[in-house]
Amino acid sequence: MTAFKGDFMNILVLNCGSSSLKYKVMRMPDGVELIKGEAERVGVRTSGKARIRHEVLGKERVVEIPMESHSAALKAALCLMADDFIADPDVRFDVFAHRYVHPGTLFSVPVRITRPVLTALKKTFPLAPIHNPISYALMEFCHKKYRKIPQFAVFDTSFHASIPPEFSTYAIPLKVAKKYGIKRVGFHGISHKYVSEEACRFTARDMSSQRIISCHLGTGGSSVCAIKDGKSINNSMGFTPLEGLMMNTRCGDIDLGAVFCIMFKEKFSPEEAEKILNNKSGVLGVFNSSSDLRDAMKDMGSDKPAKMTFDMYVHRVRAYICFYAVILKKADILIFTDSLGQGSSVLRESICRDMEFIGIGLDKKLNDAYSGGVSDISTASSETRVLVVPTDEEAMIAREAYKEMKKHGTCR
Amino acid sequence: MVLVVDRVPEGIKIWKFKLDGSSESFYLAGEFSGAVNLKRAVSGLVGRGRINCISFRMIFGGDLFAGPVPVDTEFFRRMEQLTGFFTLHLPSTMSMIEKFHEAFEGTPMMVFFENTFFRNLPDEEKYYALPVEYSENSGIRKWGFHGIFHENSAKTVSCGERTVSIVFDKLTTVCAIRGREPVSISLGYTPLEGVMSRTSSGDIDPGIVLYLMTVHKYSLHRIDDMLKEESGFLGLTGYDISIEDMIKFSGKDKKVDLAFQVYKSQILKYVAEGLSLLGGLDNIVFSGSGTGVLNPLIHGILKNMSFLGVNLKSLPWESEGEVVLASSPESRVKVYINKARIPDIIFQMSKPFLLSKKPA
Repeated sequence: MTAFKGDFMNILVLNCGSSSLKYKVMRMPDGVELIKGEAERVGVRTSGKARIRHEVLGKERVVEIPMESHSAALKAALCLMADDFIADPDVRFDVFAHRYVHPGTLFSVPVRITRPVLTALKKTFPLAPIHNPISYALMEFCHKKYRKIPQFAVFDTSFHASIPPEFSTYAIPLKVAKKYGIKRVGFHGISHKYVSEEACRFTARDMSSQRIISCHLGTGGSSVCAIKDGKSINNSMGFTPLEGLMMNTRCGDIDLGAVFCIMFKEKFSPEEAEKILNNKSGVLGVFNSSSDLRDAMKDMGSDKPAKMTFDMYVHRVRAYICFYAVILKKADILIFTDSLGQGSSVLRESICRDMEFIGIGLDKKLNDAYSGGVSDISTASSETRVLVVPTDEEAMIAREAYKEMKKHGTCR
Repeated sequence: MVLVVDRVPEGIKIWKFKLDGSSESFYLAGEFSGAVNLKRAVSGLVGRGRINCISFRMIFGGDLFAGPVPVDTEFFRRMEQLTGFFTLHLPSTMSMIEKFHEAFEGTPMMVFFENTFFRNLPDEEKYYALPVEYSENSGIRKWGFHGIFHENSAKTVSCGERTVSIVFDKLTTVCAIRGREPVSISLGYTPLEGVMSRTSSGDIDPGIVLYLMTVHKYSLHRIDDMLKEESGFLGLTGYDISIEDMIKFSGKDKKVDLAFQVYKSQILKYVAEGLSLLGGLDNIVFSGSGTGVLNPLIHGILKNMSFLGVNLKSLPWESEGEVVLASSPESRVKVYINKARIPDIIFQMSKPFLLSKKPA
């Protein structure tokens, strides 16, 4: 194991998708990426082959290897890394850091993985039935095979632990809410925190004094976050990632009475209803041809469902931006991030149209010219700085794990 | 005289308007087995003077009507297509209208709907992000509610302007209006959507319902009952009293304070949605039976919006007229409290139809 050189340590970040595993070895505190990779088509049967794209200090190679589970994917990635460590001991990692989506109300800060923590997390599987069990499986694997290496869980929800009761409470019977821990927990917290910190670094502003609206708009999930005094005070996702914006296959906000009518009329079981609302709605439901908003945007000039899909998506993002601008009494910074937020100038322009009344002014030329990195795309007279900030959840997870390691001493 | 008639729980409410606008109200309890009995009961209350028009309030007309319509064969034929909608309300209202139609044959009768104001909502507001076969193709869309109040509020302000209209009644609804046309409404396909009420939850994360059903085996009926009858202010406080009574406990009870904070945030969410569609704001109008008592709540909601140019006079806001200006002279956004009641509004809307038996 590499001895810590002063304050430096290397953290292996593991970030699971439903059929993928992203990993990075990051040298902290300076955040240098030593190794990064992505295992694709994990645990699924597709026409394409399962493979790992693995990069060490900028040099990439692709390895085709069947991976029937995320644990198998991690094993395969660690094998690749073992060769790298022999070649260059300085890229060896010292700490594991896992992204865990939904710990319910169990944990609101990053936690060191121990057997009691694993036992507690097992109870949270139903809260994020796709993501939680996968992350758990990796933590258990690492705990068994690499007992001596410190391991941390960093939660998607932690940043939102500061959402006050007026925004986190649902108007359902108190006893039901208390019994099942039902409240708005919010998601994408790792990303929202990261881009807010980066935005303040870029603008040389103190985050504790800024009112920020952060829009994490991805080809998968999307959410908006309101941040005040450095803390999240609201998030469009709720007790689950289903609430809020229209997403790739998720319905977002909806009249539950309509859902009940459909379930009653079609005799849907709860599981069938869940599949429809989580996997067949959103962009896919309205556009029908694809779940990717970018595909709808290609056709919206000539195709009515494509145009309606885009208009619905934009309408909902605008509504949440205005809501958070009202509760913040205008924003100092508005951030766009993730694949759609970073990738589409047309989307950003449509979202920001006619928002001058709330202080938001987008500069069309700067917006159209955006090509990467952190960038200010607002007009000079805009009261709100509008920024595009590429998200990096792995970097944020590494930061949080590093903070925990420093708090509790070294791993030895 | 003009009679404005509303079906209420276990009876009928009747407002008798003289043509000068003065009115008195009556309540007829129970069911009436036939038109003769109904006519006798109604005449006993309102007298035997000439009835120029009987106007009915109807909570729902689907998308089958563009506005107020006379009670005639065509009306009955179209309403048959709405069998299955709002089964707790529509059948009993229709039965009442049928009896009046028979009992007062020859008297002009008009129906005013609560949802027709919203028939032309923009598509991106009207439809949900569901698969097309369960939304647009199934007729599932936002219907809206309180159209009578919102349309009236739109008329109290200058035409062409951007208005957010909020109704405090048994339900609370928020509507954004450009000129005279609505562009958004908080209440949707059913009254579960939107802002919480005394016993209903308003918007919640749909994932909560799926979680309770799949993991904790709640049945559809149990969840439906819970969200409609055990939630809202009752669910958050345990107090089974009206919102107008509950506000007296503000500042004295933490549960009540939290309930009003949640209520306020739900209202603000829809006000903000309206702002995003209007691109700004010229007027805010509050109406419904809850105004007056809820003025301190209104004050609290609008305090958040001073940065948009909303400046308020100090409470209490009182004036002789039906429309009270609550904003101060320097406020860029005008804030009105519209004290008009539903029967008064319907009476005014009925006047054009008094001139002839058919609508203008």
